Amino acid sequence: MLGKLRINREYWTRYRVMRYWVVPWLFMLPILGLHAFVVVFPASQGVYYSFTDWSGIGEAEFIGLRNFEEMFFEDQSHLDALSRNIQWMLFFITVPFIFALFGSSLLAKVRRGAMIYRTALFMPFILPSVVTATIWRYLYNPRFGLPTLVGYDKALLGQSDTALWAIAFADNWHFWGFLMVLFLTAMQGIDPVLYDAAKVDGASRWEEFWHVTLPGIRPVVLFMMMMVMIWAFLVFDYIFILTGGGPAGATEVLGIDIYKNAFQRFEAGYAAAQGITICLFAGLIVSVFAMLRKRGWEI
Amino acid sequence: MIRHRISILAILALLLALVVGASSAQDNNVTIWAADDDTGTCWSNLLVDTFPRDDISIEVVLQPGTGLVDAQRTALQGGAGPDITFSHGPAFMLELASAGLLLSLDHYADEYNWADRFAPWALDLGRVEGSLYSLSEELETVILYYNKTVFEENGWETPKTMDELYALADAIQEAGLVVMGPAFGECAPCYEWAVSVFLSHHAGPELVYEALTGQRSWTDPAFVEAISALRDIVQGGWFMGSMDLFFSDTFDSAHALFGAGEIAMSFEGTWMLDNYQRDFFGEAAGNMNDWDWFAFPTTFSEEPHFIIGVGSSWGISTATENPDAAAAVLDHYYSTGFQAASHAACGNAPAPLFYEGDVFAEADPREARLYQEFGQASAAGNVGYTSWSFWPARTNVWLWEQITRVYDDQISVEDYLAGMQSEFEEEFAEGLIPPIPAR
Repeated sequence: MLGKLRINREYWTRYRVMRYWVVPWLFMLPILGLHAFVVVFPASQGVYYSFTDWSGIGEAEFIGLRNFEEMFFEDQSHLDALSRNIQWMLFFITVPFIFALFGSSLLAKVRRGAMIYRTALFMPFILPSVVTATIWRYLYNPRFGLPTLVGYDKALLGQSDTALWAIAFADNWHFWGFLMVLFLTAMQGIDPVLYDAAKVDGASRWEEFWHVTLPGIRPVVLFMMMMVMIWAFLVFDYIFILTGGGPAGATEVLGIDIYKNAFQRFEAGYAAAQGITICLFAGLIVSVFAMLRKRGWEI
Repeated sequence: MIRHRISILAILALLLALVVGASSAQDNNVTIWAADDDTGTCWSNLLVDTFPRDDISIEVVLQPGTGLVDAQRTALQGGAGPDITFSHGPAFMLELASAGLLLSLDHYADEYNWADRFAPWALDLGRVEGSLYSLSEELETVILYYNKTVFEENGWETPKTMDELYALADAIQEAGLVVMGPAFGECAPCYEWAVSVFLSHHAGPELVYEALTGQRSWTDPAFVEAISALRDIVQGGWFMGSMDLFFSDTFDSAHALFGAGEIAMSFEGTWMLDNYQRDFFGEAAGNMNDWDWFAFPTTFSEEPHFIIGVGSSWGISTATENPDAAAAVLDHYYSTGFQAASHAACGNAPAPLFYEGDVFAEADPREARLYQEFGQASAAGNVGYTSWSFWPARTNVWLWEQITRVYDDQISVEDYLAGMQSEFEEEFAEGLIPPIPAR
């Protein structure tokens, strides 16, 4: 009898191991294999090449931390590019969020034709960046574009003090509709009773927004803020299309600098080191948010 | 029964023949990547249609034009990519050859007598440590196109000296027109055109030759003077009327204004010869204007001078399984007949070969004059250097990237040239300077 029980226990142990450990991993295996092949393996190679002097073709020479030393202590263009990424991040964690919060608050009250407004405002997000960028190139043209409406005769993309912000605004035009839809969806999850209570307490629209809406969608807002901060270090397409990093290097962000180093200056090892740095920045941002969550922030 | 067996045997024999045939065709298959645009489709179709050998098949893979060279370079590094490969020019091919990704073409050069067909300087551009690894394509230079109609209306003459060019620019600006286009809002590396021209046409090609061969520093006062002159004309609004438009406007916009007569001249490459007539002048463009060209003047001679360059270079990948077939395709590509046909049908600039007889009989007379004057200048040694053909990669990126900071007064001309010298010294020490033909 005891022997039978032992056999049953062994069977159940084996069953549990199979069911809860082996089988799930077997299901995961194809995607893990694919992930290892297209992400882990190339990323590991990237880490290795960041410690080498490599032109992008042929043999790489191991040089230890020399690339990182050059990046942070000698290469002014890298530091300038990093500073522009930070400016870009500051722009994108403010302007589109303000636009999106304002837009979603207004749209949340709209009942008739709401879908038309939402679709219209979301539409730019699904346009390819090359299309949006080309539209804005023409809109910014001082001969026939928007500047003529206000009598401004300079090219915003052609001046070193305005180009970065002009591109950021074009990118914002494409992006904020996406944020707005996310916020709008989050707002629909807020209990209407809270609004009724606020009205009973005599809250104004602003107080309603500040004390009910914003706390209700805070996790979404903060999560998107984290994502936008990470994305700000990856920006490339709009700048590459509209100015290529010019004029006079005024819009050269890390992505553009990496591209130039890898494919035009044939310094792929150094470019890999710059890429690794971006990953570290992303990791740092995620860590800060994880720490805040541990401290009780609703993220 | 016997008939049945014979049928089966016949079918098997047929299948075997097909397999052997397919395998044989596979053995002589040569792959080439081409840009998936009108020009790429045109020349690649022409190549396949005109290739005379039946025992070799050419497989053209059309790829997105943007980033094609980068994609090809990555594929080659991974042991894949096309059998016949190309890149932006000698400096890029030097990298590929040094990494062992290109086959030496010495054997094929002897077999096909390429030395008798190519201009010597052009063949030399493809050599690495004495061995030939690539062949230059698309003979290029930068010239000044002018709106002939506008010039005739205003009684302006084409200038022969730099002083005359300055006087002409003053007259154009006084007439309320823009001196010249284009704008480089879509092409950051294109700033190299003006730097190349000013170094060779202001300081002089001999000095540039000495600098490229390490005998003279880029910080030489003659170069400082040349780049200062360039900075002054850019800041003076010669290009597009203002720096902000020069930095941001598009090629099409500038060319359209040139065709319409609002911009008097266009500082452009010879690759635009075909486009101006087709797209920006005449009835198709909605104007009745005409155009012509002249060589960019120099500070030291009234004779026409040109900077020389090539648009791209071609070689054979070491990963190819059919090097002989690839060489045969290259040989056909670089025949005067194919180059003339490609020029006529696709508008491609011809490769730097010796053209005999009247192979360009159907070319526009302005274009014929260009090749004639270019040949005379070349024979007289009145040729300078394009940075994209003769500068090493990192120095060249510095050249076009930092010049905009000079225009924008962020760095001085002296600092710009000192930076160029510093990059050049490093690459010179590493042996990365493309072959510089002797003067």
